[in-house]
Parts: sequence; structure tokens; C-alpha cells
Amino acid sequence: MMTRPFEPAALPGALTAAMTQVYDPEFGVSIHDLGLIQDCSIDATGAVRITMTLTSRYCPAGEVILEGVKSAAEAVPGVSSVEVSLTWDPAWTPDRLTPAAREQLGW
Amino acid sequence: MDPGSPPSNAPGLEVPPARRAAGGAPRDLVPLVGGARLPLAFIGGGLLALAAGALWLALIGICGWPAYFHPHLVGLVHLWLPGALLSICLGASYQLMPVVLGTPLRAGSTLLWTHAGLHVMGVILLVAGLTGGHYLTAGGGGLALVAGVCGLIGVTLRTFPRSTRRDTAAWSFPLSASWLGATVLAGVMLAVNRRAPFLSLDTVALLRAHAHLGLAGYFLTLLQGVTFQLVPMFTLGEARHPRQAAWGLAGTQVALLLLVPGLAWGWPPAISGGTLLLLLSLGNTARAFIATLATRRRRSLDPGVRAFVTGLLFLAFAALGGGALALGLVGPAHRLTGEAAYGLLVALGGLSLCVLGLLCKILPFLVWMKAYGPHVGRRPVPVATALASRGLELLWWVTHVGGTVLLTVGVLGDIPVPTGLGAGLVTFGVCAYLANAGRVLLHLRSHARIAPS
Repeated sequence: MMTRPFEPAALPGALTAAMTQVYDPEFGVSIHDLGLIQDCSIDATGAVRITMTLTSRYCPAGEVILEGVKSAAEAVPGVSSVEVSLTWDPAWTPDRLTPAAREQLGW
Repeated sequence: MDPGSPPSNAPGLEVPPARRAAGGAPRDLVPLVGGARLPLAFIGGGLLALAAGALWLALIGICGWPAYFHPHLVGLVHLWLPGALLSICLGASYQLMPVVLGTPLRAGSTLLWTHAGLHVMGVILLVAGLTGGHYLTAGGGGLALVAGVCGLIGVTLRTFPRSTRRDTAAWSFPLSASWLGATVLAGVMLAVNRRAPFLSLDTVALLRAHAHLGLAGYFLTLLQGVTFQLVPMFTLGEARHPRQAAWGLAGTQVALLLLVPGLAWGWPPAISGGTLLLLLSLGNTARAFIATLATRRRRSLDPGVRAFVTGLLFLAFAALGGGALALGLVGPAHRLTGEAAYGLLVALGGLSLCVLGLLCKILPFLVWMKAYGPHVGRRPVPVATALASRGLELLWWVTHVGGTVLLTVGVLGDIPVPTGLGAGLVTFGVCAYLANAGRVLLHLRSHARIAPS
């Protein structure tokens, strides 16, 4: 079995790609395009720390989305561990939507 | 565990995995209540009652529309309102309440499932008793409903103080639960009074008071609150004019305190005052709702949200019609048909479109959470909106609206053709709605096939 070598430089792109595979179930827009990821860092051991928010404090899918982000990041080759933390500061605003998300929502 | 903590096996009370992953999130994320089984059980029961009610409606429409206090119509109304719409609202509320209040339900699963059982038994006995004129049976069904609603009130009153949220959406839960308690209790008193008269009040006046307790007290109060949670959630918007929304909700409560005794005891100043205050409250809610809807980032409205907005328009028309009836602007010759048309506009037009419209959004979400939620990030999953058929939802919306308009016109003018046609159209629309709901529910089989990773 071939093992992929650890490539820290390739990780942010791979992680971004992973985040585009996790969707808000209601709008069908990826959490990356919704602008929910506020910070993502990785250390030399491949440990990833993701800080994210939700569109609302009362989002009923919050738990599922956070778990989905964790699972998607863990599946990226080279990642040894993932910690996802939720923050409300700064709160999410529509300004964080990417142009792709705006188009998808009919703006 | 602190002494006030609920048992760890109670639904929706475990520390959610996301919180553990987050390492101390600022707020607990609330998981599915009872793994979504309890809300889905209530909603499933409501959909079965809706199917039976739609067939019954077609039959009544074809055979000739009776006076609104005819036992068959009273039976159908109770199958439609407590049977279908209330069951759906209870299922949705048990899931929505912890989300809105930001704290898990303070209840054990036994209590919640007992409520579900009592509710099913109560509706069956109530409808059978009212249709056959067996008021002891109807009273027994009513008592089962009262016992179940006591459970709901208990859960709400235990959960509400744990929350710090005190806006319109949050307040609508304890207020609507309290009005529901008053409604079912008044219903039992009415049934007992029919069997062994002990109240020296006019039965039709008492029926009007009981109906307004349920329609405005429970359904309207709940809608005046949860609208400002659900509509922003479904349209990626923001709740606006919270003060006006709060005045809308508060005004309805005061209006009911005047209107219900006024209707029961036939006291015109209380009826007029209550009616005017209710109209004013609806105006406040409407203004806040329009501003909220205008903030939406998803420009095109889904069929479910369109149906909800249409339902609110029906409620606005019904309120104006009800106001005309209450203020004596309708002559005695048209009063009976006017009251029947008013009831149709409220129950079949307004409340049905609002509740079933919101369910178009809630049901796919609940099924998605149960069937696909555990697989997010692990494998490709569909989005919640893809579980439903937009075509079937649009077909239901168009036929339900058209059918309700025809039926109301037919009943108002006492004309059989539009009455029968309207009832048939509504039934056809409900069939489309149920086909769509069945299509969504079939996705639960995916959950059964794929074990969570």
C-alpha cells in the first residue's frame, strides 16, 4: 500500500477543497462559499485547527455541519488530527458570501 | 450532573458531539429530539389525518355542504385541525422549541411519547364521538387530549426558564401551549354540556369561543412567533422590526382575553374591542413580516414559503371578514354562510397553507438530518431541498389555493357546483402533497440501509 508523503504546503488548498464538499442542507451552498470558515491553521505535525461560525446562533443543522467539517478535514491526506471550534465573534453577515454563493442564491 | 439536570437518556439532552469537537462552544448546539423519531411520529400521524380529512372533505363537497355545526362537519373540522394541523405543529414544535430557546427540552422520552399516544387516542375518540353525536366518547377523547397537552405545558414551562432568549419567537411557545390547554379544556366542557347541560350559555356561542381559543390562541400565537425564526432561516434573511412583532403577539393575547369571554357570554363591547385589537395586532405582525421577508438573500421563494405567504394573505382576508361579522356589518340573511366562509378562509385557507407550507421545509430537513446527517463530510449526500419534488409542491399549492377559493365562494353563495369542485380540488391538492411527503419519507430507508460511519 502506498502512503502519500506529508506535504504541508499543499494542505490549505486540499482543506479548502474538502470544505467545498460540506453543504448547508437548506441552501445547497458549501460552507466555504457561505463564508463560515473564519480561520484554519495547521502545525508541522499535521494537526488542523478550524475556527468557524454558523449563519445563525439557532441553526438546527449546526451540530451536523461542525461534525461534517471535522470529518471532511480528517479525510485530507496528511492531516493527523482536527479540532473544530465554533465562534460568534465576529458574527456571520451576508458580506461573507462568495460571488459564487451570491449567484447560486439568486442575487 | 447538577441536581436540576434531566436524565442522561432523555432525548436531546446529551452533550452533542459538535460541542465536544469544538472544545467548549459558546452555546450548546441542540441535537435532534429523540433522534427525530418523536417529531416524525407526530407529523406522520398528522399526515394520515390529513389524508382521511381530504377524502371526507371531497365526500361532503359532493353530497352537499351542511351548516357549520352539523355533526359531520364538526367531526371533519376536528379531524383537520387537532388531527392533522395540530399533530404537525406539535411534532414541529418539539423539534423547534429547543432550537429557538437554545436549550435542550427538559423532558424524558417517556413523557413525550405518552403525549404522542394520548394525542392519537384523543383525536380518534374525539372525531368518532363528535361525528356520531356520542358526546361521552368525544369528552373522553378530549380528556386524553387535555392530559397530553398538560405534558406539553409542563415541558414548555420547564424548558422556557432555562433559556435566556425572550423575543417573540421564544414567548410564542409558552403562550400558545397555554391557549391550547384552555382550548381542549373548553372543548371537554362543551362535550359534557351537550351530554348533561350545566352551562346556561348558548351552545353556538360557546362553540365560537372554543374555536377562537384554538384558532387564534394556539395557531395564530404560534405563527406570530415562529414566523420570525423560520422565515429568516429558510430564506437566509433577518428578523426585522422586533418591537412590532412583539406588539403583534402581545396584542393578540389581550385581544383574546376580551374576545373569548365576549363570544361566550354574547357581550358586544368585548367582541368589538377584542376584534379591533386583534386586527391591529395582525397589522403589526404583517408589517414586521414584510420587512423580514424583504431581507431575504435567497431571492426566489420555494413553493413551501410561497404557500406560507399565501396562507398569511388568506388569514388577512379572513380577519377582515371576521371583523365584519363581529362588528355586525353582515346582515342576518348572510350571517350563517358568512360564518361558514370565514371558517373556511381561516382553517382551510390560512392555517392549512401556513402549516403545510412550513412543513414542506421542515419535513425534508428532519428526514435529511436523520438519513444523511451522520454522513456529511464522509461521503457525498444530497441537500435537504433535493429530497422533495418542486413540481408536486407547486401542484399542491395551486390546487389548494384554487380549491379553497372555489369552495369559499360556493359556500358563501350556497352554490353546489363550485362547492363540489372546490372540495375536489383541495382533495386533489392534498393527494399531491402527500405523494411529495411520501417521496421525502422514503429517504429514511437510506438511513436504514447505511449505518453511520
